[in-house]
Amino acid sequence: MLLLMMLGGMAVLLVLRIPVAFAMLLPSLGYIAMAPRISMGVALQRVTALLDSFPLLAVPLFIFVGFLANSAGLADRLIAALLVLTGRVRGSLAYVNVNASLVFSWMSGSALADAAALGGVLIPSMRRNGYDPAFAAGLTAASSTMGPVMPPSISAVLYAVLTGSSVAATFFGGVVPAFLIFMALTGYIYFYARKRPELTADPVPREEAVATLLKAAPICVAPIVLLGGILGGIFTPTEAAAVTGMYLLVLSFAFRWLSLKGLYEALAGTAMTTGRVMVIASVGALFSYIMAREQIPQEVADLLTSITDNPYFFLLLLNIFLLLVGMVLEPASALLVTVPIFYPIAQRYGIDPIHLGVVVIFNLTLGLMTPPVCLVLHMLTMVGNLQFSRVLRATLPMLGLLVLVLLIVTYVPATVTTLPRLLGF
Amino acid sequence: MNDLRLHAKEEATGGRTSVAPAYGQPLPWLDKLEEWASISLLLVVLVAVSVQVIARYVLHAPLFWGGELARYTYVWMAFLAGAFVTGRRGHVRIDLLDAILPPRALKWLECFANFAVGCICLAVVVFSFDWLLGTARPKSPALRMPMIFLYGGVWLSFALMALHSFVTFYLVATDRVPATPPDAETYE
Repeated sequence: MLLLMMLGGMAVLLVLRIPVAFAMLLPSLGYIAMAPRISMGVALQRVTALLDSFPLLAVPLFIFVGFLANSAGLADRLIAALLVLTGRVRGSLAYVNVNASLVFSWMSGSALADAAALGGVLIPSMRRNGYDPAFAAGLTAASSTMGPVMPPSISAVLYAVLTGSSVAATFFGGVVPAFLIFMALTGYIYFYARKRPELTADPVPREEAVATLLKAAPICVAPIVLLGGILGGIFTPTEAAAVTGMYLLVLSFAFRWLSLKGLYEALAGTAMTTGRVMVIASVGALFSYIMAREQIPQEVADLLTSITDNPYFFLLLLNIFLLLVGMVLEPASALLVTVPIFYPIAQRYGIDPIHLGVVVIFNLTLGLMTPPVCLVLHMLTMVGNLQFSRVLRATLPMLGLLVLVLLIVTYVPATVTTLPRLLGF
Repeated sequence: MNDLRLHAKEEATGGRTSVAPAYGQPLPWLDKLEEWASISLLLVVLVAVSVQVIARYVLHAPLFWGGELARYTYVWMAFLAGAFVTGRRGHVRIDLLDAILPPRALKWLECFANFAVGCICLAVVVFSFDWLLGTARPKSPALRMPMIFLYGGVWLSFALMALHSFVTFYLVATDRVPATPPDAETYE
């Protein structure tokens, strides 16, 4: 009853254009005002308590790494090097697109950052080389979903902190699913390019090829330091993020890739994104404190388990529910709002927390490609100066493939849980 | 190849909107102050976490206060950023109805939303004040800092969010700024 009242109140406030954070805050304050033996100080204490956490520090640091990679033009250098490596394979630029997303996803933890960095370069150059620009935009969007699934991932940090799971385990649980996305998309490109012989790139002179590869080499040290450091137990994920940020900062200044203005833009963008995400996160912590105090997830779990005790059926319901949520909310906000409610329920069904985390993150990331609110598609439509409906149509087959991968990841938990277990997390 | 990179450079920035909004910002000095404060605090977080790694592996003398400094700085940074985001009307919201609402209705809905957010933040500020004063005595474990400095930052940020919201309410109501804010560049 209380859940319905609070969620109902929140829904009404959301429709009235009140930001998510404050739409959650008002019902929470209402509860505190009416409940006995609880003071308004709890509100202040709870919103602070979530942020006062060392693992969560990784969020602004990974956001900063993403912005920095963008400001310093790392994407351009990466793409040029990958083009040399791919050579004159049919559909080479399309393969470069997916490969660049893969490499980028080892540094940045967000789909929007990946799509912004790569789309601005790849859509125009694919168009010049005879590709349908709508296909280019759709492919960039689809391949950017590897960003939050592959470590490092901002969503994974948020999920791990909310559920008390290991950040590193949630990170590495995403590796196999991200490679499944990679394989699905390269397979799609193979069939797409097979009937289009005109899709080849110009050959690159040998000296220039070497120079291009040398320029990109120092960038590739960043993911090695980041992931290797976490894997080897040298850094915590938070420290790895800071070290990577520092490395890219020194690298970009040493090679004059970054101006002071670029640094300011990266810092300001990081602050703004952090402010948006973290105010929701901290108010969400207050909200879930109230839920837990009233034992609401337990009640919902009782109700659901009385209907079915099949975890696969629960996962199906969850996937449908999250795809719907993802249509109207962006991934980080959706994660912060929904995880505290359904995580205790999933535990009752005996679902592995890391498996659940990767399914949720992957599912909500697809929301960046599903209308009406599909931030990545809208952004790429703008970047490529295209018609939205064309981009959407070009994206649909790839979205279908991604949903297929999501189903595989959901129903074969070993795709997620094997790697973290082998690595000993 | 050259061609690709040449075009890449000029087009990489095309279609991206700048971080700062295009029109006159309500309370521009406060917006800048909050932005620079949170940028500086972000740099402190970055340095504090990096120094912790250096202290452990290079100097072989782990810092006991580095983590606490970084965490507390982060709380301030995130909430101050939340304050200037409030002023720029950049918080995540569902604006599906914007396209179908008549402009007048949109304007008054925006006024209502800002007024409501102002009241919500003001309620936190007013009703948690007594509790906040009670945190002046307890000290943090490593830095020995009175906890009121930690919670005070959050309290102050809620006050700033209330201020930003009421100012935006007034400016939208009197048609000095448009009913919907321009898009800003954020990645999450």
